[in-house]
Amino acid sequence: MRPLYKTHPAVVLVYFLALLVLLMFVFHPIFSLLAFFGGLLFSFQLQRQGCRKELPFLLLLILVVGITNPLFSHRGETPLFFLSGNPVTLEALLYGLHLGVTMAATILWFRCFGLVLGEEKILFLFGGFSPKLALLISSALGFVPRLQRRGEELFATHQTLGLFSETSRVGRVKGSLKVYSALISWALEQAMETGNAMKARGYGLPRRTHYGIYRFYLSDFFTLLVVLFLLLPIFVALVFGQPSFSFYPGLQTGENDIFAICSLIGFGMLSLLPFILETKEGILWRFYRSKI
Amino acid sequence: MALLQIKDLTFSYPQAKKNALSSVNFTVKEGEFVLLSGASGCGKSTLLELIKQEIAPFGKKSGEILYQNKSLSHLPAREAAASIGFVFQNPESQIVTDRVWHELAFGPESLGLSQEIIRRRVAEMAGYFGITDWYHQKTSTLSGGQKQLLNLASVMVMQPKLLLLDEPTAQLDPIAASNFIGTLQKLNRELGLTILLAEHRLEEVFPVADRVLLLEEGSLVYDGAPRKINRFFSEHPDHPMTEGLPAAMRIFRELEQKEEAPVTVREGKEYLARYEFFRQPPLSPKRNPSQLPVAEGKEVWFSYGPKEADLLKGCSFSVFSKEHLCILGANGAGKSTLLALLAGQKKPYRGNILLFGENLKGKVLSCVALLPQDPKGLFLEKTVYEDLLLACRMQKDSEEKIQKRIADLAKKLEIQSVLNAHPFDLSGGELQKAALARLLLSDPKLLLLDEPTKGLDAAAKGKLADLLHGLQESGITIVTVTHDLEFAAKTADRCAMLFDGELMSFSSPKDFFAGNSFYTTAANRMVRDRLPDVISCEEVVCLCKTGRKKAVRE
Repeated sequence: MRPLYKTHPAVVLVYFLALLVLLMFVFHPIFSLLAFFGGLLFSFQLQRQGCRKELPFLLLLILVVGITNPLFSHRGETPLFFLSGNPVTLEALLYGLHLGVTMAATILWFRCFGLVLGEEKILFLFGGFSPKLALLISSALGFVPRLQRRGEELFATHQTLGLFSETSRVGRVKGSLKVYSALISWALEQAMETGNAMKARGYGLPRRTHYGIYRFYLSDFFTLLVVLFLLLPIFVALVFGQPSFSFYPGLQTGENDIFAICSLIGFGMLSLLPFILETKEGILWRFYRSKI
Repeated sequence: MALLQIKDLTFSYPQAKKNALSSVNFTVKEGEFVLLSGASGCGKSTLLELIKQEIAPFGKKSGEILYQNKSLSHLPAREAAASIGFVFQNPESQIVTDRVWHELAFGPESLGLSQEIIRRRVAEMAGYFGITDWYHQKTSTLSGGQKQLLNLASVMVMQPKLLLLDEPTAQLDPIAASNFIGTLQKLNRELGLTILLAEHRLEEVFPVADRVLLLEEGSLVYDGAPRKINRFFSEHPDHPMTEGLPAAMRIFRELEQKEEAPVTVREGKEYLARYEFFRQPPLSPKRNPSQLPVAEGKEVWFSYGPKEADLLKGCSFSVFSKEHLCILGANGAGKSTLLALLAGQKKPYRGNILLFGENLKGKVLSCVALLPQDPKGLFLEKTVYEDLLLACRMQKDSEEKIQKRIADLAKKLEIQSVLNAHPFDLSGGELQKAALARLLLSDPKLLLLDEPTKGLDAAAKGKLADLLHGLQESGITIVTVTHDLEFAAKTADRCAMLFDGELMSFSSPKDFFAGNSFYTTAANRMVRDRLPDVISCEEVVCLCKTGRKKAVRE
């Protein structure tokens, strides 16, 4: 098993989808907390600086959501104090904090998702469904930076020529429109040339194949198995209506039977998996280096 | 064995009065490196496109194109796509995808090859072309030379037997261009690949080509060895192509009537060894430029962002009134950026730029005009004429005066015939002239030119040089940024080198090139051991004519 960013994109996609779906639809504070810490550790590993900058924002988010909820929701049986005649309850406060943690965890995991997968891998996954669409997106991605550069060039050129020096706003807008239309005709000309280059390289022949640079290694298969193995107890538990938790009227967990405990352990392992894989790699490297 | 046979090929575009090609006949043998030359608009591209069926232009065609003794139209589509490769002029627009590896795989994907075969072929090509270092990069981050190399590699990955190239180095700087041509030579030598190349850079291609085809207004006028082309030119002494020949050939043909001409600098040097030079050549009348500075830079610093490296580092310079200053330097040295600063498009973060004694501070002055690298960008309207009109209207002249100005200018620049054409339909030389007309309408006193010789053939370059000289006479100061050493040697009053963020070694072209040892003109490289300050072919010819020929046993 290799770190997540070296794993086959399809396995990574399965992992992230499973994690995000569970995080959003299983209503349990321990789930949220596990996901939050797992996400925090992983994102800290991926991008130390970015994570450090984001952490205060996330804590603030949890705090704000946590405080706002009891101001509007007055359900619950343990009033802490009264605010202009309305009770502020412990249950509502905890519910708010839970909500905040879930949101923060979701943000963290989406960020990790973006960092690990990236547009190239996402495009590769797309190619599996529709090679044509993937090619279209790929060529668009290649064209956009060129269009941007050309646009900047054109505006600079015509600024020097005095096209925008007119005092009236209408004159200036007219000038910009002219530059934009020139940009469009340039783009069309380029597209024609690209079209020719595509035809020259056999585009349009029947039975086109799709090439991806990612291979499915045995270790990817193994990672997939581990992910599925961890998901199994959670699904079994979900079928039996576990794990459950309710905030109102009083805090109450469902039956803490074997299913619930297994599912919690499973989810905990799942959200720590990227961190574990990464750390394992780090330790292995240290070991290799000491050998060298 | 003949790989390609062209028999009596005639072609005309719809609604064209003249034939684009008229009864062209030639044969390309397997493994040959054939150079297709001729002035722009002579039908080179049309010929190449007709051989590549998929992109053949529409029009009236007669005659036959045989590939491996079979008519091209009988060739199965899959085989035609794979075995005849085509590389276009523009390095950017022929890139289809966003990643280098995907670009390499594009052709094989179209052929419907399996994952395993594609993997092997892509790996092989990436290794051969030295692409492995940037295999995972985005195509938009590559340099022009890398892009064109990628285009070549992504054609080679389909394993073509015949490679057609339409002026592939026209948009490249000299170093990238000779690298590209070197790669072609390697492909030809090592793989026995048959190559048909249309090209203007004869200095580099003549030594490596087996045969030269010379097209003139759609007819094939010469078909033979590159060294023997002299025989043809001695019958047509004023042929525009003669200016573009390698320097050694240009000198030789002025001095001898023999057939076998020297082609490379080494051969030219050997040939010139038989001459004894008596005196320094008459110095070309040295213009005495004024010392009145028009533009000055005072310790200019520039960078694209706080974390980016400095492109200009305390760069100081002055440009004098009515002179032509050529700035040379490697790719990415900041030459274009320097022009953008002078034009007021960008602002230095430290230091000052003074134009006509006024501190610029990122302002745009109307008396400065900048010709961008791609002059198409100057044109916004449907015809050249409308664009010129737009330029005049900005100055609020009377309608009659405008008409007269445009007519005068068009006459002076010889662009009357293209005034009603769409700017995108002009040839490189015409476009350059039309662009100059557009700039001159705003009465600039300082003209900034960014790579004005890019994509021009030798004849068009010569015309441009004359034109710039005329502009100087009329009182315009010119600053040119260029890679073209021959052009700088011919036209500049002063040359300077931009290196490591500084402009240095300001001097006359003679002193400038005499001081360099390989960054110099081909003519200079041939005689620099004996006469370090001789930089042009004309001077060498003059020296040989006044000198004495030693007796050589042949």
